[in-house]
Amino acid sequence: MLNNQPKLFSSHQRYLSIILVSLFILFEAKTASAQHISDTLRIKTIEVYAKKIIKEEAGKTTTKIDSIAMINALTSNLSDLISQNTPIFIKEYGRGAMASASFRGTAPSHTQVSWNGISLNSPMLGMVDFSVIPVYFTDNVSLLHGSGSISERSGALGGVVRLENTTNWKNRFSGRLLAGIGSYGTKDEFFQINSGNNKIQSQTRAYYNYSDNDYQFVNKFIADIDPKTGNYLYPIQRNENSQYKNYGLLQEFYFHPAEKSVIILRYWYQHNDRSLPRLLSNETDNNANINRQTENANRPVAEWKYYGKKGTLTLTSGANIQLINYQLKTKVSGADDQLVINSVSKSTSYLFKASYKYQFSDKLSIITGANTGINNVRSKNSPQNGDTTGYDMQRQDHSVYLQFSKSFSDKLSANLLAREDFIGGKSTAFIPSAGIEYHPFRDIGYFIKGNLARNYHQPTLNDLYYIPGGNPQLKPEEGLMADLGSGYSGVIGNTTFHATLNGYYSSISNWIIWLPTPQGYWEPYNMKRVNASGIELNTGISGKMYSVDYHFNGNYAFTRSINRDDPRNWADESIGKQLPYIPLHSANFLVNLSRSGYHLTWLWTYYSERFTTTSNDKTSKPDVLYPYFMNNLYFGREIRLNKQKLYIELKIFNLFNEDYRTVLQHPMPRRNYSLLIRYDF
Amino acid sequence: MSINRLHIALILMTLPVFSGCMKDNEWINRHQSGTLPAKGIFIVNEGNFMYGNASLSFYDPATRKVQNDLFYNTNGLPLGDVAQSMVISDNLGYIVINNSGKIYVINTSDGKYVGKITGLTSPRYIHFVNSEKAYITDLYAGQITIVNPKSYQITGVILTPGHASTEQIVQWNDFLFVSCWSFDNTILVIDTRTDAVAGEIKTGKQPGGLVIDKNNKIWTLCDGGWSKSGTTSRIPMLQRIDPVTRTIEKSFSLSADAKPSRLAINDTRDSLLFINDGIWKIGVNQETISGHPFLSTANHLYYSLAVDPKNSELYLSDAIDYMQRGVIYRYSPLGAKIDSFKTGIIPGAFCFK
Repeated sequence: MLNNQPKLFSSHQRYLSIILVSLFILFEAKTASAQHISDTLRIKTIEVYAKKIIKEEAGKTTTKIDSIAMINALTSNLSDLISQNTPIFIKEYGRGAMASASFRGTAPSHTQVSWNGISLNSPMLGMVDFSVIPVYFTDNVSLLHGSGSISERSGALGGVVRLENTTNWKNRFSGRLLAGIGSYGTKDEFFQINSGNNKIQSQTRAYYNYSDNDYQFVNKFIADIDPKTGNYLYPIQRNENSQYKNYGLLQEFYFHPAEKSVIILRYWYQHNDRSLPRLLSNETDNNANINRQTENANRPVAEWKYYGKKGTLTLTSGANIQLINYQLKTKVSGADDQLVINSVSKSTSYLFKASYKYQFSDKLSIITGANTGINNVRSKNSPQNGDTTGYDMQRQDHSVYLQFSKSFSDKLSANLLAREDFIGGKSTAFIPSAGIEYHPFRDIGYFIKGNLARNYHQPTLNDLYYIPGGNPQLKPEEGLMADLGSGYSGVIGNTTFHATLNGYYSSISNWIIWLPTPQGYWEPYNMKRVNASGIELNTGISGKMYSVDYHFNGNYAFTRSINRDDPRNWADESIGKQLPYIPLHSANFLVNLSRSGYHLTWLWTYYSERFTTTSNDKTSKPDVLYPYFMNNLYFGREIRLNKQKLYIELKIFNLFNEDYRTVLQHPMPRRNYSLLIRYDF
Repeated sequence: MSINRLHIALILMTLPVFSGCMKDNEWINRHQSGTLPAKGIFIVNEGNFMYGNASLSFYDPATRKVQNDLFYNTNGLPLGDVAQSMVISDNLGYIVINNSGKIYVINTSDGKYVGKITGLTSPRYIHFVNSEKAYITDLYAGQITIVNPKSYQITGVILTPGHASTEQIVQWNDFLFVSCWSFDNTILVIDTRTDAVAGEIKTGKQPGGLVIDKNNKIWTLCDGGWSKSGTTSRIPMLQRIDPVTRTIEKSFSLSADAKPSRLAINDTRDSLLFINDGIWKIGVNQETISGHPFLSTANHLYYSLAVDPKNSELYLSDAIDYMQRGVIYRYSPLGAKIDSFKTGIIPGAFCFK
C-alpha cells in the first residue's frame, strides 16, 4: 500500500516510534473505550436554524462551519477547510502553495477575512492567502455571504470569512499535543496549553509544519525521442523546489475583571517559507529560476467588551504587520549567480474599531460603530542588475455605520443599515443595506429572507502605485447586490436535518483586473461591469442508526460570473463569458460515521471545468482545466484515559489516486497519507 | 437478494461517480497533422507567463489558411511557457521557449518535433553563424550560450560581465552586435572568430530591436525602460550605429510617454518600421520623424509586427486582452488590409518559411 511513498517511513526514529505506538493503539489495545461515545459526536452538529429570528441578522445569509468539519481540519490550512466545507472556490497552486478564494464568483480581494475583528487582507494585495492560516489557531469559522457582510465591513463584494477565538471560563488546566507524519517527508507538530480560573484565562498555541513535498510523477509535458524507435520517453520527475516550512504562535489572555466586562489580549506570530515549483514544460538548467517566498506576520490585538443593562460596547485595537520577501535566483555555471527578482514588501495596518449595541426593547435595537485603518505599504524590488523600483504609500480608511433592527412579530423582522466610508480623506458614496426575514410557521423551522445592498471595494495600494503598471486613476469597484434565501430545519426523533437554498445577483461596476501590456508588464484597469449570480445549496443531516452516529453536510454552488465589459474591437470574444478560473459547478460533502470510539470520515469535492482564457476557449485542450473529483478518507480511534483522551488517525488523501491539476502545468500529488496522534489533557 | 446486499451493491455502483475522468494520456495521445505548404509563415504565440500555454500557428498567404496549435496537434506535447522567437536553418525550425529554458527543433515541412536544446536559463533569441554554430541570448544568465545546432549540444559560453540580459543579435562581417535590453543601455560587440567580447556601445535605455539597413548601418530601438511615464529620465530613442567606428551616428528621441517596440525593416532595407501605438515607418535616410503614423491604431493595441522579407507585406498582431486568442492583420506594403485571422494567445513572433 505504501510502496509509492518511500518518504513516509524514512523519517527520524522518533516518528517511527510514534507510528509503532499508534498502530498498536489503533489495532491492538483493548482499553475500556467501547462504552464511550466519541467526543466528536457529542458536539452539537447543527447550528439550529433560528426558531426565533435574531432581528439584527434578519435577511443576512450566514454559514457557520460545524464542529465536525473543524475537528477534521484541525491540522489543515484554512484553504482546505473552506474548499471542503463551504461553497467558496479556492484556487490553489499546489500542495502547500498559495491559495486564493473566489466567493460567489468574485475576485480574491473581494473576500475579506476578519480575525477577531481585525482584517487579515493585505492593503498591498487586497487578498488573503488561505494557505498560510492554520485552522488550529481558530475556534469558530463562519461566512457572511454577499450583501450580508456589510454589517461587518465594506468592500466584501463576495463576502466575509470570519475567524474567531473563544475561551472556556471553567477551564483550570488543559492542553493538547498533536504530532503527525505524512508522505513526502511531511511533519506536523501542534501544541496547546490553557490555564486559568474564572477571572483570567491564558491560551497558548504553537505549531510547526514541514514538508519536502517532493512527490513523484511521470511528466507527459516533455519527452525525449528514443534514437532507435523514435518513440517518446517521458521522464519520471519529482516535484522539486517546493518544500515548505510553516510555524506560528498564538498567545491569548482573557480577563474578566468585573461581571460586566471582558478584556482580551491576543498576539499571533506567523512564519511561512515556501517555493512554487517550476512548470511541467520547464527544461531549464537545474539551478535556474529557483524561487523562494518568505513571509512573516505579527498581529497583536486588544479587545474590551462591556455588557451594560441594555447596551453592549466593544472596542478593538490591533495591527496586522506583514513582511514578504520573494526572490528568484539563477545559478549559472561559470558566471555569477543572478538574483533576478528580489522583492521586499512590508505592509502595516493599524486598526481601531468601536461598536455599540443598544436594545430599546426586545423589538428594537440600534448598532452603531466606527472603524479606522491606517495602512502603509513599502514595496521595492532590487534585482541584482537593475534599478530598484518600488513605492512607499500610506492611506487612511475610515468607516462609520448605523443599523436599526426591528422585530414586528415572532414571525417577521427587518433591519436597515447605512455605512459611509472615508478613503484617503475623501468621503465615498453611501453604502446602504436592508434585510427582511419571515418565519411563516410557529412550529415548523421554515424561513424566507432577503437582503439588498450597495457596496464599494477600494483599489489596493498595489493597484494604485505598483511600479511598473500601478494606476492612481483607478475607480473603486461598485457592487449592487441582492440576496434571497429560504431554508428548513427540523428534528425527527434523534435525527436533525436542515436544508437552505440561496440565490444571489450582483452587478459589479468598475471591476479591477490586471492584464499584460505590450511592454511586457501588467497593468490594472477598470472593466465596465461583471455580473455575478448563482445559487448556493447547503444541506445536512445527523443522527444515530444501529448504534452508529452519522453526520452528513453537503454544499453545491452554481456560479455564473460573467464579463460585461465593452469589447475592445470586433475580435474580442470575452464578452458574455465566464471569468477565468471560476467553475460553473462546485460541490462538496463530508460524511462522518462513528461508533464505540472509532470514526470514519469521507470528504468529497467536485469542480466543473475551469477556463484559463477570457474567451472560454475549448479548442486547445491543454489549456482547459478539466473537471475533477477528490476524495479524502480519514479513519481514527479515540481512547479515554480518565479525563485525558488519546486519538489516532490515519488520513488518506486523494483516495482514488487521481492524476489532476488545479492550475495549468502544476501536478498535484497522487494518493498520499498522514498519520496523526493527538493527546488531549 | 437481501436488503443488506442490495444496499452494498447500490453503494458500490455509485462509487465510480466519485472518481475518474481525468487521465493525461487522453489529452496527449491524439491528433496528427498534414504536410505543411512549402511557403508560409510560422506564428509563435507567447502564451501567458507561468501558464505554459504558448503555441505555434502556420499561415499560408496563398490560400489564406491558418493552422493553430500546430506543435501540440502534431507532437502531443505543449510548446511550453512564453515562446519568444523562431528561426529557420536548413529546413529545421528553432523555437526559443523563454520560460521553459529550451529550444524546440521542428521539421518545418510537417511541424514534427525532432530535437531540443535544453538546460538554458531564460533564452530569448538564436542566431546562426553557420550550420554548426549558433548563439543564444538570455534574459538573466549573464552569458551568451554557443551551441551546435546539429547535435543540440552546448559547446561553450561567452560571459557578459555586468550585463545579465542579452537580447537581439545582428551580424556584420565577423562581428555580432548584441543588445543588452533589461535594465541595460549597451550593445555588445562579439567577435565570432574568437568568441570574445570585442567592444561595447552605450545607447539609450533598454535597446531591444536591431536591424541592418541597405547602407550597412545598424539601427536599434531603445524603449526607455520602466520608469513612470512622463518623467524626463525616460527618453525612448531610435538610434543609428556605424558598425565600423562602433559609435552612435544619429538619435531620434521619442516623447517621454512613448512605448515603442518591435523594430523591423522592409525587403529593400530602406524603410524602418516599429510600433508606437500606431505603426511608424521611417526612411533610413530621413532626417526627422513625421508627425503621423503610417497606420493608425484604429481600435487596436498592436503587440507585434513583422515584414515579409520577400514582398514587404506587413503582419501585425493584436493580443486583444492577452487572455484569449489574438488576431493577425496582413497588410500590403502600402498599408491596405489583405486579411485577418486568429492564432493563439499573445501572437508575438513571426518566422517566414
